[in-house]
Amino acid sequence: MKILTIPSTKSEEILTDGVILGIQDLSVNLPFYIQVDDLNQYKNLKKEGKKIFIMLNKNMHNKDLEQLRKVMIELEQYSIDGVFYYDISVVNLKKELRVSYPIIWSQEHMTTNAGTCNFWASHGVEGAYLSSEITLEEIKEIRRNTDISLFVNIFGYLPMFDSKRHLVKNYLECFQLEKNGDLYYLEKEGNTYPIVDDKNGTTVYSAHILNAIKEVLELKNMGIEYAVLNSFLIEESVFNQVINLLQNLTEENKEQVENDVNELCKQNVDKGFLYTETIYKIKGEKE
Amino acid sequence: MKMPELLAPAGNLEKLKFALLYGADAVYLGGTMFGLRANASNFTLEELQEGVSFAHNLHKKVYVTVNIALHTSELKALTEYLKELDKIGVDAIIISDPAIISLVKEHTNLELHLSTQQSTLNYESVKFWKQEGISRIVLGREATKEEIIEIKKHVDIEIECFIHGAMCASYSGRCVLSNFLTARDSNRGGCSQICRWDFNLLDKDRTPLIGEKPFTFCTKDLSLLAYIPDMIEMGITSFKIEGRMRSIYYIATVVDIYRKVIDEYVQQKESYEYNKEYEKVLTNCANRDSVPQFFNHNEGVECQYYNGRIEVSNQDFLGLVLEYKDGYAVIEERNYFKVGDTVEFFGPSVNTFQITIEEIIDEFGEQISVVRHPKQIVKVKVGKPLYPNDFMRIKK
Repeated sequence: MKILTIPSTKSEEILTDGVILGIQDLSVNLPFYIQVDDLNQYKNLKKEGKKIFIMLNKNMHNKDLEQLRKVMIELEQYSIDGVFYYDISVVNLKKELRVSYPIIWSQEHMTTNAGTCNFWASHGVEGAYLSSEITLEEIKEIRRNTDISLFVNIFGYLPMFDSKRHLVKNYLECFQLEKNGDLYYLEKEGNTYPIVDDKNGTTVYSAHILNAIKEVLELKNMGIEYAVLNSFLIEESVFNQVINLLQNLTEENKEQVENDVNELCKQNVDKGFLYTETIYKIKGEKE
Repeated sequence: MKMPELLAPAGNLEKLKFALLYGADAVYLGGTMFGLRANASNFTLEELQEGVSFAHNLHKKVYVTVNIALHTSELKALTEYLKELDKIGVDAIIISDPAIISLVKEHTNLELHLSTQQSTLNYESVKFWKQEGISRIVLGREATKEEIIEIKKHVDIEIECFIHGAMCASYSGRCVLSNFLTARDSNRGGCSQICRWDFNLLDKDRTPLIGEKPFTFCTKDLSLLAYIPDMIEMGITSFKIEGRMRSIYYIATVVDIYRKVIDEYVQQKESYEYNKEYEKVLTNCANRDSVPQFFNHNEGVECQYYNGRIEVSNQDFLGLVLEYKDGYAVIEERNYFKVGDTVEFFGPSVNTFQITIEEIIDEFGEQISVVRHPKQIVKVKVGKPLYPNDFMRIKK
């Protein structure tokens, strides 16, 4: 299993097996975005055998297509290991442009079953970045029923909401409050949810940090190819220590590692939906 | 100029009938599984069969939503369900998960529409779906007028657009607030509308930013009433009304108004004038502000409900006509009314007209002046004929 990180800075030093990077104006939900030629800075990573994936996960509008086409052509020069897509235009353009790098289905909350993995596989898609809203058992079931590479989030704040609207800006404007930067928080019933209102629109993140470091052993046994750690809003020293703990994870020390990660994250952690099935239909609820 | 389809929501069989009788060309609905409104009453297969027969007898169509984010364990049951839908003769299914495409091709002859859950907003995506055999795309609600025109220019395919009703604050499919805050899966029919909750907003140092009202994601509703002529000219195939959880009164009112606008424009384009009275009826019926939203780039602060939303339950719907006999309408009461009120009747077979109530007779044949008991059956003197399922509303 390879460990990938979503970094918070344009650092060339990567402690894991690879990185996921976003491209300005074509990616959302990421700590920072680069221009395609910034990939030159990461060339050493390739020499070290590390992987570079590009996240093109914006909902594309017609006006984005020209830049998307250009970027997809340019990416061909950089020996990247794959492009994650949310919008289906990427699939169509890959065919049309005949670019050779793999593409990976990454529809965030909708990447939930093996049948759809296989549908995309039949269109040449080589991987699926699974939803964080499914259980460990469901991940296992997907693994059993598809052959494409699977990517699973194991650490970090999780995106819960994406909008084209500028919801914080609108609120501040309405009540004549000053907008200062892009990062804010929403507070409800003792929880605080990071909310980012930037050029792309608005993204809201989970209140707690997903800590599925311990579960990596099980994911590895299942045959999951990639585990992803997201550094968004995590202090660099904490993030590096988490990576270090993960790299030394064994069956014997897994409980201690979990506790150590929880401590590092000041106990602001949970298991996401790995052991919690969400309710599908509320029985008896009035219409 | 092609007549567009007016597509209405049908949360149950009664709503299906009202929607079609009041002028919808087609309805969309969910079965008891695999649809995104798990808490609407929804249709059993028997009810669906009855609904399809009812619609087809009127030469109208029924589309079934099969648009949840599927989980692997459901794929087998889904195949059987799709075969049943095919057997019943539904006119299309609305999907968001492409796993269904392969199942449909392998096991059925169902026609496929792509749900707004895919947030399709560009012509390259539309091209892909067309090649996959999708016959209609329900565009993302973020699509502007210019974007729709551009998509139509590049791909010859049926386009369906929302014209009226509630909006997601997010891109459809990209909100799981409900999962995280209430353990209800929003992409599987459990949305608990967290977007309507209040939150405190804090800056990056976690200092409260206090406006006169708390922060909410809540947006105003969508209404494209004023843009119907533009949308007809653009060649949009289907005009979709949101609201499978809404009442029969709401469905009938909204369908009735849009039916009139479409017909008036198509029949007499040169003399068509926007009727402000229709807008007023829609506003009164919904009790929520509505704006054109993204269609005309109206996506800023004026689209939000930050100013505090007072949602009063709708009191306009006074009664449902059960029959008309000897100059009296037999009416089932829904809201308080009295002698002297000016009321309006509307229905599929009557031109909307007003009266001032002069006489009310209760079930014992006694004259009364006030009707205040829910579902009380009374007779109201009305000079013009009415028909079962016509509505009486307050004239404002």
